Amino acid sequence: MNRLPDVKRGKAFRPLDLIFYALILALIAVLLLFTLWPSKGGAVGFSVKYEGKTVYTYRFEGGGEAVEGELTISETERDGRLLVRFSKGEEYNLVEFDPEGRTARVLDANCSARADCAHMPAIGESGTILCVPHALSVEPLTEDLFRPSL
Amino acid sequence: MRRVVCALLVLFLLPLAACGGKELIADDTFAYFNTRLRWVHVPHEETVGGDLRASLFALAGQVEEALSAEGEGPIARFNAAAAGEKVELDAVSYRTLTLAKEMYEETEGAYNPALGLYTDLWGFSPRFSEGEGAAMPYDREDFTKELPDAKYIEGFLPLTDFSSVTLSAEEERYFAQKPDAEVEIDGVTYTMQLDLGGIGKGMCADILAEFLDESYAAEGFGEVEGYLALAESSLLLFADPRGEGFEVGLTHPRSETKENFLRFSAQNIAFSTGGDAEKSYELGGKLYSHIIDGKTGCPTESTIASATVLTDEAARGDALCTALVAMGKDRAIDFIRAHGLQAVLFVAEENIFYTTIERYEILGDAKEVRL
Repeated sequence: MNRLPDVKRGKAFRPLDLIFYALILALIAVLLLFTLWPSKGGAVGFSVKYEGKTVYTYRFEGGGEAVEGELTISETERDGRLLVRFSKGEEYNLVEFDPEGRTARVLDANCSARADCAHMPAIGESGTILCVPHALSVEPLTEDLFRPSL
Repeated sequence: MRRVVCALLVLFLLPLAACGGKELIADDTFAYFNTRLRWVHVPHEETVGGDLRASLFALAGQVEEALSAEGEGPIARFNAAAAGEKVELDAVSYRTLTLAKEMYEETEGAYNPALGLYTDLWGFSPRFSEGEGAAMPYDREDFTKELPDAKYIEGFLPLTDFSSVTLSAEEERYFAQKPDAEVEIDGVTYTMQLDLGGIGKGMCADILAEFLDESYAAEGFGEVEGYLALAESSLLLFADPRGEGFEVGLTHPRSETKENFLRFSAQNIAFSTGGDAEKSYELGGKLYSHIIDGKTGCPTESTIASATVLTDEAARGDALCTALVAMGKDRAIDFIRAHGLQAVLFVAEENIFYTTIERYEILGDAKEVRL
């Protein structure tokens, strides 16, 4: 038997081979993703920014901490949730932090935007609530455990 | 051809599977030392939700009780004892006081654990932060608006000589002899009061690290990886599971949003930081911090806003950073050079940091001076 001509005539890659190689390449790609972008620590709370600067941080274990600045900030507790009012003059946003659900949402505001921030859904480990007229944003506070601070 | 392609793919695949990267998880408790104790580690079956976490945090509670000036532990009993009385200690408090004596001598009194009366006089003791404890004759209506009476500032000085405390060990029992000195002010007798706030957290970190070393060895987990952090002043690094070194940031002492001004890569070392940002208040335009100058009985007037020291023992580093702040800039720089310390001093007025550390990344606009 002379199989050489058959081998020479045969294609380098059969359809099943191609599927197999594609699966291996996909697996390599997934592994590369986990290696190059390892998962970091999840959200530990939320930060509230006014005009891009942090004015308040809320941590699930530790509560809220305000930074002195242009906004007037007041806190009240209701049903295990922390309600924080950010105001400047007549303008205000009322943000609710839920430590059990690990979410934040704007309960009330008197901003003029059509997409009123008070109607935006609550955010958890990702997402941002923006109140453009009031230059206020609420976003998750993530922590990279490989980068501790003193 | 196909076999060659498959073989190459497998050869490429295997190393990637091996370097998938270890994750870290954080276990926190707010139950001890009036702050957050964080244990960051690579999860093992036994550590995640297991007995090791519970044992570790229970040990922290035992250390706190042994070193606390409040309650019924040995240090609290020493403080309550009469002048000249011999008080029995436990192993933890004896070990801590022994190290405290070494640090007191090494820093020529700049680290002094016998300043408990002043810590309370100036409003920095747990009595004020926790709202518990009996009122004292020297209390002011609002300690942030009124300075202490000079008769107490001067009167307590004879009660701060820590070298006069005698430690002894007798057949696995430990004792501390309180000095004979006592002072009477307005009919009230005062004796030496110890405050181990400047060394306690570091000692706790060291003891927990020893426990983890033993536990990991016993459980076959291999090398301890991760770190322990107490508040934002004691950070004891173990090995980085990635092998690279943790990126440790130092917080700018005047930043309201806690921005870092410096970053290092490090592992298997302890970082200790002390400064006026931890506890302080302003009175008459002057900042009064919790770090007391043992020579004057008043909060230090040092220009050093924060001092960070890298050491093998967290307790030693804890005491050293307190001492460096109390020394003031010039004396602290001399001390760092004389003792070959790895340290960073931040002088807020100048926005300059002085350091002996060789490799770091500057963040922000602080200027550097290499020592």
